[in-house]
Order: sequence, then structure tokens, then C-alpha cells
Amino acid sequence: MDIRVLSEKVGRLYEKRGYEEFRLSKFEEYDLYAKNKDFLVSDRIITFTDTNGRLLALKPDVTLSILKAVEKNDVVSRYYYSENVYRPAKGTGFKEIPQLGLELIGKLDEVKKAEVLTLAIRTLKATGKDFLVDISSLSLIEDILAGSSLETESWNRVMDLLGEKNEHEMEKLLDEKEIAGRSRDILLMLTTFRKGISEGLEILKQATNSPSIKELEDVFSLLEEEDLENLRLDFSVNANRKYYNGIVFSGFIEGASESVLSGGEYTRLLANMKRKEEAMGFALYADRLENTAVKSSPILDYLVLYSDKTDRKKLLATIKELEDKDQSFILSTEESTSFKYNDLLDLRRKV
Amino acid sequence: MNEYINIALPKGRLGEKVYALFEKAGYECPSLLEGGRKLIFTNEEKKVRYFWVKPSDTAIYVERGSADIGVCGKDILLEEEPDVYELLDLDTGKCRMAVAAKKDFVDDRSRALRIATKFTNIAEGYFLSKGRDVDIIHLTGSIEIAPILGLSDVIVDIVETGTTLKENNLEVIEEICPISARLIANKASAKFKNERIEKIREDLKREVETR
Repeated sequence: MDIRVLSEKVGRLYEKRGYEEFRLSKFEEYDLYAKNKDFLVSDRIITFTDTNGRLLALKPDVTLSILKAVEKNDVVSRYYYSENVYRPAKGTGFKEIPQLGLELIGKLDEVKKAEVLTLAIRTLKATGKDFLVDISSLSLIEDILAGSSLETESWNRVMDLLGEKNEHEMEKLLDEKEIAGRSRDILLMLTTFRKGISEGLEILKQATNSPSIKELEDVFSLLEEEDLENLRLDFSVNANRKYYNGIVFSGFIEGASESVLSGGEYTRLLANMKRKEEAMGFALYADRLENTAVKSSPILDYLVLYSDKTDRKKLLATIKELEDKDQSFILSTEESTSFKYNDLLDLRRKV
Repeated sequence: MNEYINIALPKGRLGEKVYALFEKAGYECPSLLEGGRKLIFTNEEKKVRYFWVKPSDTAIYVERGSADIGVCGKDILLEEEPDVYELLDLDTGKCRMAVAAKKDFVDDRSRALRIATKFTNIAEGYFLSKGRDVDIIHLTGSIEIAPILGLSDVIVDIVETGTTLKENNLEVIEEICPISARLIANKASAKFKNERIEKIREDLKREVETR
């Protein structure tokens, strides 16, 4: 799927829900990223000095720029964007990655959270491929950890193991830290957990009385049946606890070997920046969609063969006729070509 | 159930041991043991496809989705940190990651410790957590001769029986962690082919537990 086509389609969708397009400049002050290193996926950034001697960067991220530009305490802002970001490639060097996403900044409630989640689902739907969205709740996991006797220094290790669905090492860690009983059972259950929404919520309600279950229930109650079908409760969603704090999610499409969309509530990032707003958003990484595209070369209507013996007037007349009939064609002196065509017009010999 | 599950196995002794587990668990592919240079084997009935890959590459095939699941040593997982699920400890191919040195080695803490190793990330991580200043020398083979030739003070390497170390007059001075073969899965495949992968995991788990 062409990212430009997808952006157009999905941009309309977001605008219908009151999201305004946010246009960013290619360059941003490096300082913004230096101050928020933890939020970035990587600390390798392309920088350069501008004509005023300021250190600028090719944007590795969009959210920080939007947050910087939008600071209105009592108003809810809704922005979407379709921008290129520059991040290190898997091997060496940097990559230009088209990123499509949105941010809802201001005050959150279950209606707004459901809105963001719905738009994430619809974005994946717009690709035309089979898709799934994994949902997790960082606040639920943190409530469970707080209720266990596990010291906070080990919480990151627990998050890593949840992210790997690593049951045997979770067991080893719990044994080592002497975590037993209900806490142990729940943490082991969360490690291998993967259920549809209604079944998943039922099981979680039996296992814990964390208030985060109610948050999940309230948000899901505002989603449509057909959207819920594509959701799974799964606690392996990768989300950095330094800036995400509540519902987090990852989207996958058939054919892509890694997640193509990720998002969640990042009020914690704003709190770290000493700001009072709450926020939630998501981003789609169009480069990950690339591998799923099947490239088909266009098929032309005609291949018109000519040579130096061809009567020029006849050639011109043929061209005009094809143009008038709105046919697609290519002029060539050779029959073997790298493209496909339906019919052949051979004008090579003088008739 | 029309889909195949693609399984990357490490070429060599470990791979053969691991295949035996898959076979006992019900995912046999007899043509695999025939030998020869073929690298891809299919069982049409059970809808599994095995391929032999270089042991250090299994994680790459799984991470990128060319294999849905695979088997990889924990040493590679710790060193490369591929973005995959680690679903099961297959309890085979057991050995340890250790620090080894010449028999009468004494650590001179007044200077950086020189470490020769294939596992630069593991070595760095381990000594960083101990606050020890280090100089890591990346080698790709015959690591044991490094301390003998004075290239390094110690080595960080996989130790099985310890025979190779002994033969070179080296000994384990610290154990870093136990290593074994792990079942890994591509994160996206684990979602779209969830039931089948879950079943393979359960079947293998049963075999591992009853060994």
C-alpha cells in the first residue's frame, strides 16, 4: 500500500473526528531531543549546524515537536500528522521513515481513549490487510507489582520478561525473589496471556481487583463489535514505563514481521516535562508496511515497434490514433521489453 | 489450518538433538535425517517446514519472520538481543557462559581488565554491572590462546566440559550464567499463527518435562 494513498485516506478519517493536520518543519532544534533522550527510540540523531550556528537535527520523532508547539492547559487539542522521521536503520546508516499518527492532548476520559483506539484500528483497517491489535495496561501491571513484595529495582526485569513472553525465566525470577501465592500466579499468567477482550476481562477480574480493569472495561464498552474482534489482551506490548503509563497497544498486519503501529497513553511523559496535560496517541511506521506490498508493473495497451524504415507519417498517424482512443503505449525499436503489454503494433517494415 | 509453520533449526549437533525433541513431540520430518546438502524439509501432513541455518543466524530468520519459530542458544539471545519471543527452555545444549584465565591469574585492579571474547555485549554488560574497568578485544575463534599469548588477561566464552580450557592451561574463574537452547518465535507470527504455535510449544514443553 502506497503511504501517500494511505495518508490521504486516513487523513480524511481523522479530520472527520476533529483532528487538524499538523505540519512540521524538517529540522528541529537538537536541544529538544537532548532533553528528552529517554523518549526516543535511539539516541543517534542526524545533526547539522545552520547558518546561525545553531545545532539542528533531522527529526527522529514527531510527538515531541507537537508537544512543544501545543501548550494550552484547559483545552483538548487533536492533531494528526504525516511526516518523515530519520532514524538509524537496522544495519548501518540512517533511514527516512514515513510516519503517520495522531495525538490527543489535554484531558482524557474513557470516551477519548476509546476514540484514539478506534482511530488506530481504523488506520490498520485502511491498509486492506488482515490485522490485529494487542492491548496491555501498564497501570494494571504496576498495580500487581506494587501488591507483590518485589522491589522496584526488579520491575524493569519483569517488564522485559513479559515482553518476551518468557515463562521459564519469569518463574526463575519469582523463585529467586521469593514471590509466591497470588502475586506469583498472576505474574506467570500475564506472561503467557493472550485472549479476546470479553474472555480476557473475565479472567483478569477473577485474578485481580486493580482499578485498571475498570478503565479497560469502560474503554472497551465504547468500541464497536467489529472493532473489538481485532483486539487481543496481551501483556507483551513493548512500552517504556518512563513515559507511557496506562493503556498501551501495538498493531500488526498480516505479512509484516514486526508491529507496524504503536501507541498508548503517555501522560507520564508530560508529567516528566512538568506539564499538567494528559495525552494519548499512536504512530504507524510506513516503512514496515513496505515489505507487505506486492509490486505489480503496469500493463500497457500497446507496444508500437518502429525502425528507420518506418514511414514517419504513418507512425505519427498511429500515435495520434492511439492518443485519441486514450490508449497507453510505448514506442520501441526492440520487441523484448521489461514491461507487459496487451497488443503489438509492428510498423517496422515499410508497407 | 492451511498454513505452514516455518521452523529454523541450528545446523550441527545441537540442531539434531533439538530435532529429536520435535520428532518426539509429533512434528516428525523423516527426510530431514537423510543427510545430503538439502536445507529445507517439508512435512505436508503436519504442515511444518524445517530449515537448517547457521546457529548464529537462527535468531535473524525468526526476527525477520522468514521463520515463524526457531531454536537458538541463550548465548546468542543475550549477545544479539533479537526482538523475538522466548517461549521455552528446551533444556538441551546445556553449558555455561564463563570468565576463564590462566591458572595462576591475579587481577590487577589498578588497570583495565583486558578481555578477549566473541561475546562483546555479554562481557561488557557483566563487567559493567561489577563496576570493573574493561578493554574488550573482539575475536571470532580460538579465544583460548589469547591469554596464553598475552593478548588479554581473561576470556569470556562458552564452557561445556571444560576440557578445551584445561588443555590450554586455563580455568574458569567466574561463571556468568547458564546457557541452553531456547524456543523463540517471531512476534507477528505468534499472533497470526497463534493456535498452532501454542500447540507446538505445549507439545514440546511436555517432551522437555518428561525427559
